[in-house]
Order: sequence, then structure tokens, then C-alpha cells
Amino acid sequence: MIELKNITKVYKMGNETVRALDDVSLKINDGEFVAIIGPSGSGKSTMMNVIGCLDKPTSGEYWLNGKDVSRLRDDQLATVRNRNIGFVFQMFNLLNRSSALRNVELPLRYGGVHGHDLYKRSVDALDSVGLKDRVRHRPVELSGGQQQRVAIARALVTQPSLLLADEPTGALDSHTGEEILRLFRQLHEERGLTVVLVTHDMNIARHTNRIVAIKDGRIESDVS
Amino acid sequence: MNIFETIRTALESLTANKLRTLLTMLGVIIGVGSVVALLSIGAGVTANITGRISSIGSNLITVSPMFNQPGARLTMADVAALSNPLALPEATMVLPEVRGNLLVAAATNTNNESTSVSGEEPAFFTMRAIQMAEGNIFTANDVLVQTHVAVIGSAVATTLYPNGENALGQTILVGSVPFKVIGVAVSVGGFGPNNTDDNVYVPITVAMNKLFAGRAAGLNAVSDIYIQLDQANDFTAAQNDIQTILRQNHHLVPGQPNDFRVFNQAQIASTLDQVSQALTEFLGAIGGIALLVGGIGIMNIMLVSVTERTREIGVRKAIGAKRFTILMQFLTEALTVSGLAGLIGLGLGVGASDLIGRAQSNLKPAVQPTALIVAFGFSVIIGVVFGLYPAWRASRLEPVEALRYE
Ligand SMILES: Nc1ncnc2c1ncn2[C@@H]1O[C@H](COP(=O)(O)OP(=O)(O)O)[C@@H](O)[C@H]1O
Ligand SMILES: [Mg+2]
Repeated sequence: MIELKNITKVYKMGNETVRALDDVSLKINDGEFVAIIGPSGSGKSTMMNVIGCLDKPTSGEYWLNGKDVSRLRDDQLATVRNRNIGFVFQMFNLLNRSSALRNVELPLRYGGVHGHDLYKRSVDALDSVGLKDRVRHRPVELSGGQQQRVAIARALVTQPSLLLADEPTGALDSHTGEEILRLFRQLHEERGLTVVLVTHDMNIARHTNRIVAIKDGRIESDVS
Repeated sequence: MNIFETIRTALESLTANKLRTLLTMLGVIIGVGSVVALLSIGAGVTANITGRISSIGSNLITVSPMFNQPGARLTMADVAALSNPLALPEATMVLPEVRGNLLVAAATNTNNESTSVSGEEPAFFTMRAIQMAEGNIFTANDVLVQTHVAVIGSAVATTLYPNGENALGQTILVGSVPFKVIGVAVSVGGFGPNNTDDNVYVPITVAMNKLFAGRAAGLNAVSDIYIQLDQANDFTAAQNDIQTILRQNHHLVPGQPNDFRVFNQAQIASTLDQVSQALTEFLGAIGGIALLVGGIGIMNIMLVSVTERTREIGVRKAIGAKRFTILMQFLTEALTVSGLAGLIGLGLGVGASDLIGRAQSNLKPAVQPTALIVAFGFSVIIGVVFGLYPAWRASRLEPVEALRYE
């Protein structure tokens, strides 16, 4: 379960301060499929980064699975990310020199998994996104949609409870984007995964069960 | 992440940019290679010097005029005074020598070279253990009646008679004075002044009167006096006696400095040893500087690499890499570069030593195992030292900032 309590995130740029998140409180239960929607610069990515433990809020508390993670040290946050959270980015963010398999293996390696277990779980993850026959391919040898699937496999491989996707279809054509969205829904339904999807596009947000709209760092509406 | 995986990742990113990696390694390769090669050469030179000195014998004292006093000279009168067994009982042999550089030419062909010519007593050959490959040394009678005969070193023989003619019995011109070659000395190798192979030996009386007459100017001046002692362990006493005799002979009053130098082979050995040690240290330092420059090159490229791969670092952190993991990843990369370069450098250094040894038979580079270990160890240390800062920078990157980096 995700619980943001009065989260504020302030960026200082010289003399100016930007309140990217302004006293935001939000609760997302396990197994929800949520979209965070808002215009560019509204604070969506900042919110996702806080939820994903990539960034610490300036003030407020963040409870993840019943634990206050807003004051954890960097390495502890790395462990939380590794075990509990999977990330999918707009630009895929795969390691271009490594094969699909090695990309997917990486979070497990960071988590201390090795040997046959490492291999099997990674291949299974690739299988679950329909890329069993692309294990040895490097990102440049895959289409955009396939690359995003590899990224999703990498996000899933540690079996996290939470999947965070920041504009996951932003770099894909609409047809491929639809496929990726269907994959998210499938993962959500089959595995009971909590999926938080960040987008500026209402057509994409409609695929989810709950839409949280933000503007200027504040929650404007929250519709299930 | 286990170590093999870390190394594999390092190799992956290093091979992604092969030319750059190679150029980065070049500094360390040159550094390690030159340290190894230069130290081998230094050791070869030292061994050569030491070997030659021990072959001369350690119970030998040499007296020479003080080099920085223009009027200083030694004469046959000094030789006579030192030869007095009552004055210098420790001496078993006292030999004068006249020495200089002259043009030596074959009479039957056009070959010639400027080389070291010395006038000696026959006993000189015994004292210096110079063996004849062909013919004989000159005799006391030759010295007495001033026969124009010469013993030549093997290198002189091949220079004058390159086509394999027998040098023995030939007439050579030493500074335009004709001499008959009666002996060719066994080659001893080595290099430098006064080397047997490059020397022409003639009876001392002939040298004084015909070859270096102008220099002696009727004073019976000699270039050096060799004194052999009956034991190797009374140098200091003997040296003091020699000084007393010569100061008396030269009418030096107390307080006036010596116009001659007395030194023994042990001193020469230790001086040369110091020189060659200093040389070795100097050469090592040059290689060390090259290594250091190589290290800075590694740091430079690693910093560029960290900047270029900011996004990659962000991704790795996002999916759970800890600071230490990132630190180790980049440190391993720096270490792989420097270690690999170190190994290549070792190979090149050993290869270069071998090549020099083949090309230059006098110089026998001796590859030093300690030099190998030190040079390689140094290159690894360089990798750690200069890799640490870039790796630390990488490990400190904030994941969000790193992911935003274009
Ligand atoms: N690192 C940063 N430094 C300064 N300002 C930032 C930084 N990150 C985000 N911002 C600002 O915070 C606001 C929200 O940014 P962001 O969360 O990226 O918006 P969105 O993802 O909705 O487009 C924007 O005004 C942006 O300029
Ligand atoms: Mg954004």
C-alpha cells in the first residue's frame, strides 16, 4: 500500500523555488491500476519519483507497505527499489551493450540472486512479456515495442508489488502503445500487481481503473 | 554482483570503445614497458661493470695525476720511489703506464680508427690477466731496446682487417709510427674507455719516446701508475704510504692539496655501483613519470565515461544498485584498463630488453623479476588511485538527476 502524507517537493533554481509537489496526500491500495494525469510540468514525474523511492520529499511522510520510507538512507532506498518496485520509463532505459537477458538479469544480480535461479527467473520474465525467443538480442536489434517489453520484464523480474511507468507509451506508435497498455492490464489482473501509470494523455489514462489528475503540484481530482 | 560479473561488465563497456580504451592504456603501457626495459638495461650495465672490475682484481691501486690541476704530473721518478721495497713493502708490483688516443691505421689497406693506445711493461698483461688469442706479448727486452711491436685488442684487429686477414705479423701505423703486430688479445667483451678489445699496447719506452714524446717533454711523465698489493686487505695503510711517498717526491708542504689521486678497485667499484644505481633510479623515475601520466589519462577518460554514462548509472541505481556496487563497477573498469595495460607493458618491456640484448652484444639487459612485480603493482595502484575519484563521483550521482540527464 502507498500512502503519501502531505508531501511537498521544492526545487531551488537560483533565487526561484518551484513547488513541484505541494502538500500532496494520496493513498493507493494494493492491486490498484491507477493513472496519474496532468499537463507537462504539473509534477507527475516528481510524484512518481517520490513513490518510486528515487527521490526524497522536502517534507511530508511516505509510507510504503506500512513502512515510513521517506527518511531512509540512499542504500536502504536502493534495496526498497530493488525488492518492491519495478520501473518502466518512456525511453526504455535499457543497457544497449547487453542482451535482453542480461538487462533483465541485472536487478536480480543487484539483489544477490545467481546461478540457475537467476537464469530461470529472467527467462520466465521475458517469457511473460512474450519475448522468450529474443533472449540473446541486444536492444538495437529489437523494435521499440519489444524494447519496452524487455524493460517491463526487467521491472517484473524481482516480483515487486508495485509497477511504476512514466509515460511508457510516449516513444511508441499508438498501436504498439495499445499493446503495452494491454500488457499492463493483463499483469495487473493476473498477478494483482499495483500499477501506477503516469501520462499526459487522457486516452491512455482511460485504460486504468482510477485517474488522479494533478496540476501545479496539487491533486485536482481523483476519480475511480 | 560477483567479481566475475563486475569484470565482465567492465570488459563490455571497455570493448564498446576499443580505440579509446587502447589510447587510454597507451600511457600505462609505455610507462610499465619503459620501467621494465630501463631497469633491465640498468641491471645489465651494473653486472657488466661489476664483472669487469672483479676480473681486474681487487688488490690493485691506481695512481693518477689530479685531473683538475693542469701542472700535475706523475713521472718515472715517482715510479722509482714507489718501487722501493723499503718505502712501500706492501707492493708486489709497480707499473707505469702511458696512455692516449691516437689514429691507428693498417699499412696494407686504408682501414683506420682513432683508439686508445697505451705504453706498458710486459708485467701489465699478467696483472690484468690479458690472454693472447694469437701471438705473444712483448718482452722486457723489447721495452729495453724499444722495439716497434704492438699487441692489439680483438676489436682493433677486426676494424683494421675486416676481411679475415690475419692481423698477426702485419704492420700498423700508430700515429704514423710503424709497429709490427706480435699479439692479438682474447676478446673480453665490455665497453667504455680502456677496454682491452679496443686497445693497442706497445712497449712503454716506445710510447714515451715516439708516441707521446711531446707530452712527456723530457720529464719521463706517465699517465698512471698501477700498484699491486700482496694482500687485498691493507688498502688504507698502503694508500697512506703511497700518499706520503708521492707528497715527499712532489715537495708538497703540509696544507697543500695532493696533485695526484690514489684509488683502488674497491673504490671504483663502489663509485660505479653508486653511479649505476643512480642511473637505474633515474631511469626508473622516468618510467614512473610515464606511468603517472598514464594514470592521469585513465582518470581523464574515466571522468568522461562517468559523464557519458550518467543515464546508465541512473538506471542501475533505479533498479537497485547501491553506491558501493557502482563504485566497484567503475573502479573495476579503471583497474581492468590499467591492469591490462600493465600486462601488455610487461610483455613489451621484456621484449624490448631482449631485442636490445640481441642488437647490442656488449649490453646484456637482465630482466628483473622485482621490476616486473613493482611495475605491474604500480600500474594496478595507478588504476585504483586514479580510478577512485571518477568511480566515487559515479557512485554519488542522485538517481533522479542521473535519469534526467540527456
Ligand atoms: N531537478 C529539478 N530542478 C528544478 N526544477 C525541477 C526539477 N525537476 C522538476 N522540476 C520542476 O518541477 C516541476 C514539475 O516537474 P515534473 O515532475 O517533471 O513535471 P511533469 O513530469 O508533470 O512534466 C516543473 O516545473 C519542473 O521544471
Ligand atoms: Mg514527466
